[in-house]
Amino acid sequence: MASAGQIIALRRPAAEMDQVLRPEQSDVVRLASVKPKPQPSAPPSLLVEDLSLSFGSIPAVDKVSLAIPAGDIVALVGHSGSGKSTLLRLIAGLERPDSGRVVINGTEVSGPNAFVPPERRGIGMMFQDYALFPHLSVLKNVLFGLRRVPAGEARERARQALDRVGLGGREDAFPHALSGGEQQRVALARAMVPGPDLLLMDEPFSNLDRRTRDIIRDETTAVLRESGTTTVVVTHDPDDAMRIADRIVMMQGGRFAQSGTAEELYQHPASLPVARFFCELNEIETACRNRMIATPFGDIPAPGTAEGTPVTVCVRPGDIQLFEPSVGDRTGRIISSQCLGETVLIHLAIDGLDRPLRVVAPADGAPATGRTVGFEVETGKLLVFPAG
Amino acid sequence: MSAIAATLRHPVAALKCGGACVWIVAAAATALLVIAPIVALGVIAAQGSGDAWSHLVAHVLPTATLNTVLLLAGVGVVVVFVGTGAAWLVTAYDFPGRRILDWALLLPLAVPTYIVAYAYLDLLHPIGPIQSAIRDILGLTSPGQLRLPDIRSVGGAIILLGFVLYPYVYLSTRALFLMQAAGLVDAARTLGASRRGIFFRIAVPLARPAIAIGASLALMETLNDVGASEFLGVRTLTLSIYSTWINQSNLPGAAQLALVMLAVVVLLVLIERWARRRQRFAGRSQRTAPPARQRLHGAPALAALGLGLLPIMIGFGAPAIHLVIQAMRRIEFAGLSDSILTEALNTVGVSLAATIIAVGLGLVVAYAARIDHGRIGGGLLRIASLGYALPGTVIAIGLLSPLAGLDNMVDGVSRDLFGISTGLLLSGSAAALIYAYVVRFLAVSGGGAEAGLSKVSQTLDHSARTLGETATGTLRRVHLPLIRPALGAAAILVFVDCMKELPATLLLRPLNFETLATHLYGEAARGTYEDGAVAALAIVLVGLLPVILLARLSGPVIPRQGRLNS
Repeated sequence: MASAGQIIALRRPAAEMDQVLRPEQSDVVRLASVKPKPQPSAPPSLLVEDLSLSFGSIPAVDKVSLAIPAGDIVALVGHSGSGKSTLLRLIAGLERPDSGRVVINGTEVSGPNAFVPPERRGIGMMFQDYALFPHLSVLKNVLFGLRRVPAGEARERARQALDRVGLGGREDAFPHALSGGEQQRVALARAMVPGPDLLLMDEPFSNLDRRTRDIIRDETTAVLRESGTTTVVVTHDPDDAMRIADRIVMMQGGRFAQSGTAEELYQHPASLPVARFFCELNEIETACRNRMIATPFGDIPAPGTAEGTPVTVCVRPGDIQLFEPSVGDRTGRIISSQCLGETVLIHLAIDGLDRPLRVVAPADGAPATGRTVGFEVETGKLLVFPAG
Repeated sequence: MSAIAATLRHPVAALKCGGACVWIVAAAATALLVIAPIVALGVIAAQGSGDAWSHLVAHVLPTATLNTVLLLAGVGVVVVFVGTGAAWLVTAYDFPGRRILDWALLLPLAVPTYIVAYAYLDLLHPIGPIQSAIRDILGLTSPGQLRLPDIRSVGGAIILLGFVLYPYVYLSTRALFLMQAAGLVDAARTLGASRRGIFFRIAVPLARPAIAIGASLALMETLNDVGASEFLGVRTLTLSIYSTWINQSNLPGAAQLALVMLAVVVLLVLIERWARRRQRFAGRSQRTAPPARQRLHGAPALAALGLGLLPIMIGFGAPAIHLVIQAMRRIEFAGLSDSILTEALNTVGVSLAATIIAVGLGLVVAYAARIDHGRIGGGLLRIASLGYALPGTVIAIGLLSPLAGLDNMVDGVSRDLFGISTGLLLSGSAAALIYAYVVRFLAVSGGGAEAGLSKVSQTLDHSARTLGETATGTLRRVHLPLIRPALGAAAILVFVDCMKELPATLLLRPLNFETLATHLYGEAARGTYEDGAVAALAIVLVGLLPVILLARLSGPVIPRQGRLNS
């Protein structure tokens, strides 16, 4: 990791240095909220300390620490098997950790001193398949968690919750008669109505088609913001994470690869996997020669990097500027061009690279296939990592 | 503050251990109940004298083992042949009457082995209806002029048991043909394979695990049988255990034989595993389109119908008709005797008690396995299900002495404390019998509960728990309503199995306590045929219940549980 830090530091102004994840900081990643908090000194809603769980010899979650202030929405992202769902289940109490602690609103719920079963943690949870009880009507599903509330008040609250998610009037329907989006809304109402201190969501949008998904995601975010519920969302979709979360934590191999705002993770990824996760990249394998890294876009100075260190230089398809007529020696030939609507995806063949570069350009005035064009990338937009 | 609170909560947390502990402990206790008779067997057998053992080895064991092996091998061949053939007949071909054959082929399941033997002894008696009819046709006058092979032989037992037990193979194989073969059969046909080629090259290899499962169940039943072998004069291991205890009061000897029997069971299980090797009985959850059946017309259709009706007639039709006629004659002549009503009540009483307990404990072990994510709980479920492989005689012999010991202990304590003798509280009452039924049929209820629970997504559990419900409350509010049909079906199966059970009932019933099955056995053993037919008919009629259930569950219509996973 140290070498990654060095290399990233190459292209960063000093002020950005403290964004880089350092080992001493990664013990507890403090996730300060973007929005102003009523009580800045309040204890975090959720505190996770050195949490570990192995399945057999495979560590699923490996010494992970996290603190989330009240009202924040945090997204846990990563590929399948990265441990994000396991971490969520550990927080919920559906799994017991091998070591470490989980503290919800100041009460230790998992740890050496206690294990509080999920039903007494004051949490709400939503599942990928929504997990609606098939034998209960919509209203009874929402009432399920309100057993300790007087019946009349419970019904009132359940109806309000259903109204809030736009399902007023569907109280007596059964889950199998609802569309995917409606089922998701019932699940949200059901999880929210007991007023949980912490809401956990496991891939809450992945079973929806793209259009419904956008609508539901915005609605869900609105409901969460309005109620100020502290939320942890697990998702494998970077769009979900960037759209709904205050902070994003990327997991890899049971550990935190990086955490920060959407912009930080997108613009300044700490490692190649993080960069790859948030954007499709053009990757170019090269090495450090004479304290310089040579790329088709120009040479980058690399003063602290040892001679011969293999590196991967990445550039986002949208960061490559094309212009014609071509001037200078940075030119390439357009071998294909696909319309994506407002933009076009261009495959650009350039000398010295085996594979063509992928370039996303505005559809308006995009050069045609077969043309030779000039290209350019701001050096600040190049991402350099140890070879992955 | 919170640290103090946490410390104070600590012992509570340790005790409750997440709510799963109670279930694991209960499941462990249940598994212990099942293992107890097996452990006891070993202990009793060890107490036996060498003399008795050498006597058994010299005079009992060789014949008994030989007969048992012959019987198992023969029944195995018959059930595989008839069961697979019948399953292929109704899944690969279409002909008038196929839809009826589809479920009617299950009917012999309603006839316990001892009843089929009882009925055929009568039917095939030299002066019985069949031989008389044959003589009439041939114009013979004396039974001595025509000698049919005697049904009272190993061969006779193989045929009779085979034709009532083949439905186990039919059921599992037919399900597999319906679920999986469709697409493959179509593919094979486009590759130019003939129907017969498909049967031997695709269907049978594909169905091998299903055939193995069905055949092993049929052979477990064969091992369990004590009535048919006795009526037909075949000295099997089971019968030897029974008579070693009943006639010679030699409990250690019976236990030693029971251990030999256990070895046979283990061997059987190993053979089944081997036959299923490298394949899983993996039914796809969603049913594919039904296979395109070949339509038969004219003579081939008639032949197919006749072929399908044959096992039904042998295993169900002939004995059932015979029993109906005999029972009607008896009732016309003497009405229903009081004793048979009492016996029916006894039968229903003990069966019902055993069913309630078995379903309750089955649910406990299955739910424990679920909430423990199959770590310890899964093992306990397997142990609790061992009873199905244990013949009733083996369980009974294993239970006799621990129960007597327990009785003596309770009696002693009671006398010391209260001066009252409790007598034989367990072994002298139906409690022992109910215990044996529960041990033997816990696999049925546990399996039913497990199957039902497996259709309920784990996320429903997690939802309920995160909505503030305990593990126990989740079972009550979420699982029970969802698995009620599965539990109901399991309850019916257990109830009917209990009603039919003969060997353990014979050994463990209290004095002068008769069930329908023991009554029938008594009359058949004595050679008297008074109310026997009525009792037999009653058992067969009740035995039809699970057949109806299975026919509905395995029919072309998707079973009701399918709706649960919306």
